Amino acid sequence: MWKRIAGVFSVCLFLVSGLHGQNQVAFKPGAKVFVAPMQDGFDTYLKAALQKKKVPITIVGSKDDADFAITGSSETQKAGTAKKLIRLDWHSDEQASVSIANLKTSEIVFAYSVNKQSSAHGKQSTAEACAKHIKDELGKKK
Amino acid sequence: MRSALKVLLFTILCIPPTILSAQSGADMSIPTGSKLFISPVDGGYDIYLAAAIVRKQVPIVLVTDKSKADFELSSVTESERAGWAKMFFFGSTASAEQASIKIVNLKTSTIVYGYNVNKSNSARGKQSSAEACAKHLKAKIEHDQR
Repeated sequence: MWKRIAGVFSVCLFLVSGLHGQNQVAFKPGAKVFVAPMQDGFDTYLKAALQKKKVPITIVGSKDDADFAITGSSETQKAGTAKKLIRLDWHSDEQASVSIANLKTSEIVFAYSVNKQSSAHGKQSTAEACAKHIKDELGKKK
Repeated sequence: MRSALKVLLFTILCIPPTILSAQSGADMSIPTGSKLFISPVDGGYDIYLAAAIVRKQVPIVLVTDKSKADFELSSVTESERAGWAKMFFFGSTASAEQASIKIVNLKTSTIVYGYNVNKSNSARGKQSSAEACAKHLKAKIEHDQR
């Protein structure tokens, strides 16, 4: 009798854990990612950087088709007159931050922020830094 | 009559501190693995905080849906870029940053944690202040666990 109850219980536990596993989509190469619109069009820079750095994800145009969503923000401080005159530096200061959320579980699976003083290529540099670290994160999960 | 008074006195002296300590102990802690929702902030400071929490390996789960969260983190931040005088006299282009966070238990509506940071010469702008908040949050969670 007890053996039968234990058997039924273990089968139920197995089924429940299987269903739980089905709902969770891992952030791994090939994941479908939606890049949400960001301030100052940073999403466009990020999409370009993801392509340039050959990040192994599929960028989709609609949130409904995606498993993950990237949200982010960026800020640029153009070099002022003082910086140009005193330091002879025309480059802007850039900072950006991105986070990747699993759209099914609402959990944030990855987040990264970058700050570049005198950024060589403006927003492109920060976007490429984000893309590089997303690629590294995916590399860990192969 | 005297014994009843003794019992009453004992109750007044002993029970309230027990209740208070139990309340503060239970409500003020942030258990490891709790689900935290970070409220959106103008300027995207919430994303810097998320990145800092991931980087500092704070033992909590970040969620983007408030209904699935146990705690809510809200914050304010202010940046002041270096002026010409700071550049000329100190040779520094680093901005001054200040930020403040608070964490609310969504079930009890109790503020369980608050922290302020002020960096007059922030090496990495918002990232530095966000990482300071994350570091101290991690210390609080680890302290609660002990």
